[in-house]
Amino acid sequence: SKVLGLAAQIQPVSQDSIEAEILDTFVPWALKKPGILTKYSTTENIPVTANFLASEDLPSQVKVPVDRVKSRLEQLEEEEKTTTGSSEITQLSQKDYVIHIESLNDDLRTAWANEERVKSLKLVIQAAKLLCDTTVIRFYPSKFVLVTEILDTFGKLVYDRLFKKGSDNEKIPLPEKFSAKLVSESAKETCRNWFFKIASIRELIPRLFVEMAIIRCYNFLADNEFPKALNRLSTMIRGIGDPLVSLYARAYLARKGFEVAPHIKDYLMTCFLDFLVTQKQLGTPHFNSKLDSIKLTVPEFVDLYTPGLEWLLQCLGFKATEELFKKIIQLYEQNASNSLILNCILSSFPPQYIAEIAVQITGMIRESDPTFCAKHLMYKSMGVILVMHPPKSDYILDVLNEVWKFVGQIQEPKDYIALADVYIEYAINHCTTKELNKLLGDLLKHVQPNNMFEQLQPQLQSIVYKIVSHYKEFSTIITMNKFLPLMDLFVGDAKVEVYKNVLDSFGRSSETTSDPQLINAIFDLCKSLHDDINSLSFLDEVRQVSRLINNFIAKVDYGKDVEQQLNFYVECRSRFANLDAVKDTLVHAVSNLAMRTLGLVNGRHSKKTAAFVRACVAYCFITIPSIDNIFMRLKLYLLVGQVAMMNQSLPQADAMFKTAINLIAEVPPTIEIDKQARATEDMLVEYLSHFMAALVTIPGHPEHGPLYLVQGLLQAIQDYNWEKGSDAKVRCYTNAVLLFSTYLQQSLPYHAMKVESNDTLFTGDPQYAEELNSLIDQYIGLILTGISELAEDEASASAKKKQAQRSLDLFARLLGHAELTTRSATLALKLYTVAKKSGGADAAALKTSLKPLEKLAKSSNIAYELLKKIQA
Amino acid sequence: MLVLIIGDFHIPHRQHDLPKQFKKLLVPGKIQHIICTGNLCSKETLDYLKSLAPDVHVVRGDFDEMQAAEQKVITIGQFKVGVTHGHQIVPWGDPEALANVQRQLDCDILVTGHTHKFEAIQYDGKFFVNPGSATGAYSTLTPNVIPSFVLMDIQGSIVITYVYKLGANEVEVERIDYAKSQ
Amino acid sequence: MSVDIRLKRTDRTYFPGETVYGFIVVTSKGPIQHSGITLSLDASVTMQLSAKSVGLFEAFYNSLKPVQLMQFNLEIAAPGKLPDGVTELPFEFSLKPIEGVSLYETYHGVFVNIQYVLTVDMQRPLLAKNLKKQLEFILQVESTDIPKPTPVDFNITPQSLENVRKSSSESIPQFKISGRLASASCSIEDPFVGEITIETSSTPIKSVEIQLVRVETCGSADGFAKEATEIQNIQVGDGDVCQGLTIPLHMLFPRLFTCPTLATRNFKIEFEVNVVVLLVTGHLITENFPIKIYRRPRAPPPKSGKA
Repeated sequence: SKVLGLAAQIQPVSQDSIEAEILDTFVPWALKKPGILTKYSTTENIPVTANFLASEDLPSQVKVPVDRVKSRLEQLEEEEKTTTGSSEITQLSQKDYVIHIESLNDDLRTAWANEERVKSLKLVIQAAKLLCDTTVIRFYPSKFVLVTEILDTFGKLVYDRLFKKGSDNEKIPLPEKFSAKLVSESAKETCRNWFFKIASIRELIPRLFVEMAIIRCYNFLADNEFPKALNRLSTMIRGIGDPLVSLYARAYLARKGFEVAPHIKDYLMTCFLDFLVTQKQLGTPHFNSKLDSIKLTVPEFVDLYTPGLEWLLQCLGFKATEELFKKIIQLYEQNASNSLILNCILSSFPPQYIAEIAVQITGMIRESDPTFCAKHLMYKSMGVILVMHPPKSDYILDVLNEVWKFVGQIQEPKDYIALADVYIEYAINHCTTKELNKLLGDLLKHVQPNNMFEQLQPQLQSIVYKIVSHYKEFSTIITMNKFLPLMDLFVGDAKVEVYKNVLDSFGRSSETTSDPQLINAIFDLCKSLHDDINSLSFLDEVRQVSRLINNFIAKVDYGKDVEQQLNFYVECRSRFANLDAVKDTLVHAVSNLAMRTLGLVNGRHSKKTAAFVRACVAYCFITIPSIDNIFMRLKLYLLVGQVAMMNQSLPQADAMFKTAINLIAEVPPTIEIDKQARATEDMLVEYLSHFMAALVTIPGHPEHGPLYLVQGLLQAIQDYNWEKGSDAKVRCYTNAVLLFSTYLQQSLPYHAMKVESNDTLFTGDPQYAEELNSLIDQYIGLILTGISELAEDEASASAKKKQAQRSLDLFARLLGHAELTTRSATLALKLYTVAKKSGGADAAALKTSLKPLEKLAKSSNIAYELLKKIQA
Repeated sequence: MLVLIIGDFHIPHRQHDLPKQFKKLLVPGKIQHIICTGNLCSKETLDYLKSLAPDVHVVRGDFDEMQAAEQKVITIGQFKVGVTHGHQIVPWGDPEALANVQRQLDCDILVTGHTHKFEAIQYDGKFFVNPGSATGAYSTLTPNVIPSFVLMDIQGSIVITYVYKLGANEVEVERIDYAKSQ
Repeated sequence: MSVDIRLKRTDRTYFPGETVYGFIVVTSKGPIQHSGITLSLDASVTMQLSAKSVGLFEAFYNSLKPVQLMQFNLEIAAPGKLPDGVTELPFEFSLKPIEGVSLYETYHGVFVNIQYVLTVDMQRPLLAKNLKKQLEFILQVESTDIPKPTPVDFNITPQSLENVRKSSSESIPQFKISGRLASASCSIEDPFVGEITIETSSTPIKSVEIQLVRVETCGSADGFAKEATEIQNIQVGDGDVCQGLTIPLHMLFPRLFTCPTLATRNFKIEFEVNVVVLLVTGHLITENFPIKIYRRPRAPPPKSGKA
């Protein structure tokens, strides 16, 4: 603790709380591994000693006298033979090497499971020895990952075994956190033996690595043993001559130390300081000739440090005090010319410390030697932090200006954009749109020449996404005059994707707008997407683009300026002519506009507003025919007809209804929905029922009579080419009978606002009532014929069922809607008999159908008689 | 058990959104079932409903493009609840026409919409509810629609129905009780 | 059917004057007939001459007689019958030397061995095999004389080396090595520690090692056979260690193979440490340090009475 004068906080930390603390910024080793294995690979073969277990690692008793020099030299030669003798070395490809190491791991587990402790130790020593060898140096960081996996396995096996043994009573295991006092004498003895055995391993590197692997076991011997052991190991690592191997030994110590005592920093500081000292080795002739011989440059060699150094600094930086951080920065400034260290510091220490001295760091990066770590990488590391943790407000612009001086000069487009991306995000988060706009201007200048932007689509995309997801108000984005030119840089698939994303976030924004500049901008984006749609486009694509355009249409709101609003819709129709769903939306929007106007004038149009709503209806009348989907057209005609009617534009309403009725004949028996053919019958019957319910309010024609439209509709139903055996017509006629009986009422059950319906116009006219009654008779007749025809052609089960259903339906309607007369009772009896005879209804259905009649029979004689006849 | 009965949104055709006063009331985690009378008109609105309750039952309105059923029967506690949008019932909202549907579906409560007008009636011992339009979208009868929805609290054989209407910027609540006839 | 010796202490480690408690454990399927069970202790120093010394000294000493330290023979059970299953027969004895000799610490050497071995014998009736089992326990002896720490500083340069021929001194690489031992007298339970720094070296280093050597001397006042053998070799520096960086020397004394330094009338056990620096050119730089090993007295047992 003297090194820094920092009192180490050595309170034991529970594993849970460590994990909870780690969650925020700390990148666990498990997540680092895949990246290292991918980055540090080799095509060279890696040497492996073939006689793996042959050489003796644990010293046996030397029985020969020591003729010191001579025997030692003999011994060394012996070793030379076993480690370099060509006959005993196999060359493995990287893939096979990985398999080899994995099988070593398996061997270890097997040996352990078979209680072969000595063999296990030998295996783990052999594994650790692999780390001495730097022949295939480019692979070394990956080798470290693989080999330490075995070491970790060993450490866990030993620990778990001792933990089990640690309790004197087999039934009561040691608690998760325990004091050494609780540990049984035999576990302690076994534990001591492990450390003794490991301490007698002759070679330094395996001895260090194996002890580090089981460092957690010091828990069994004494409480609070870790600071001592970690300090000792950190100094012993100095004995490793190879600077790369020693760094990775330090990284492993940091890993193991972090597992048991994440808050202890002293030994890590020793490691870091020692690492700095070892950097002078890089200049020695001996070292340089070694690099030459393997054709590696110094920067390439230094790059091999990266994972180890990152890890060491990350452990050092974890929950570090600001004092420690400043000390590290100071050390870097005093000792290191290696900018890789600075880059690792930037990604390791608490971001707020870095933000605090961002100006200083900017200077350090500017002055750094780019041999080991390119400046743009360091600026990026810093930028990534500053995006979330801004410098003090006074310095926000200073830092940006200083960094951009560098950014603006980068020639390599990929490097430029990678850095611009980060600092544009910085500007988005911490600066005004004025600054952001400036940066976008610089960006445009950089990527426009030679169509460079074509290669940078993903990066440009990322920038646009950051902008649109940050600003809630889209109008803010549009105030930046460089934004739209930026949008123009996109081509091909990226263009479609970006435009969709921008439109999507525009659609999500809560505002509605009437800003012409914004509307124009979005219009262009929509138009571009619309024009990309063709007959070959996927259904999903069409749907998605339609949805985005519809969202746009919904966002444009000119308030009370309804004429402007209608003009906008006119514009939309001309631009988005290819999409049914958009045209559907437009018709709805214009109908809504008419209804809004009606609401505004409270149901009484002036000349001007009347003209306007007529224009709206006319718009719809022109638009609807261009829609492909026939049901969409039918529904819209019916809707707009009703809208026109409510707006007292009866001739237009009539035209709509008539067009709809004429269109019915064109409904094909099947249509394609989502690439699947579907029968239209049910949809059509539903539509016709809807139409008939709507007809309740629709007034008759002054010249053609009160039932002009109804009869037109019924004619269309009669003329329609229904499928054979269909009961559609019967279902429609039943509704027609209901409609006629509704018309017969003194007052209709509902009215459209301020519309005079048939009750006002015709009720009391005896001719009207007579006509209705005769129509009822006529259609009941048609229904009966229809029902009997159902099972005529084919007596299938479904035909019988339809027959029974339709009979019982009308039977129920007769009882429900009309007062029972002798005549209707006869009809009811007939219907019930048909249903029963058809065999298409089960007994339960037949019985349920009688319930209303049973109720009626209590008060009505006719009903009583009818019931008796039915039950007879 | 709370059941939200709601429908006829017509978003975005006729309205931009639910009234914010309603949005404040409708929070996730309180409602078990949602019965929707249809005419949501967009997937976003359906997603919104799904965010409020685990069980969302929707029928198809005249302007829904989705492939929902025309009619549904859901059993909630002791009650069978039938639901259909109602544009295809001649005449709309007519008690006898509704009763006919109710008998076909063999349900205790029939929920319908389309008229954009709140109704709750007992007819022939059964209960008929129309929650109105949640957004106050215009109907084909009037441009002036009061936004409303219904919350049913089903407890054993009793249904307590609360109707929420948006008056002049204020939410008004009424209560109607209905007991199942044994 | 088996017979075994079990001591109450799991680490089988005792000090002179203590009482050893244990059991003879007989495991058998079915009752077993025997003609007596005895436990004997053989504690002695055995000596042996190396092949090199044999020719020189055998005229004077045909064999070096073992020195008996303790001896007894206990009857654990009189002839009789043992029941089916596991039978535990307790025993105890105290650790007291034969008159006129003292007890030495257990030591497994090459030419000198100090061992304490218990043997259990079960005599069986005719035609049945006798059963026998041996067990070694460990005796530790506290040193009476605890030396003060004596740090040793050292500096090695080509000029300081002893056995370099004058003529070859010019071909020797230039180097400067400094270091220090924490103490030349060492507690057997603590690690041997010190440090070494390669200040400069014109030739890269191959290895830095600590070699622990025992020096065993057998014989009487008339003639001694003295032999040095390596106990262990611990590498502390691997490869071309960074110049100017201080490397710790750290080595544990191996159990059984080391004991407190011992000098008696008949034999001596002494230890030395060599610090060895090996250069890639094959040059070997060695510095030798005799050390004295002692055993610190045990901490007094915690006083009971106060809770």
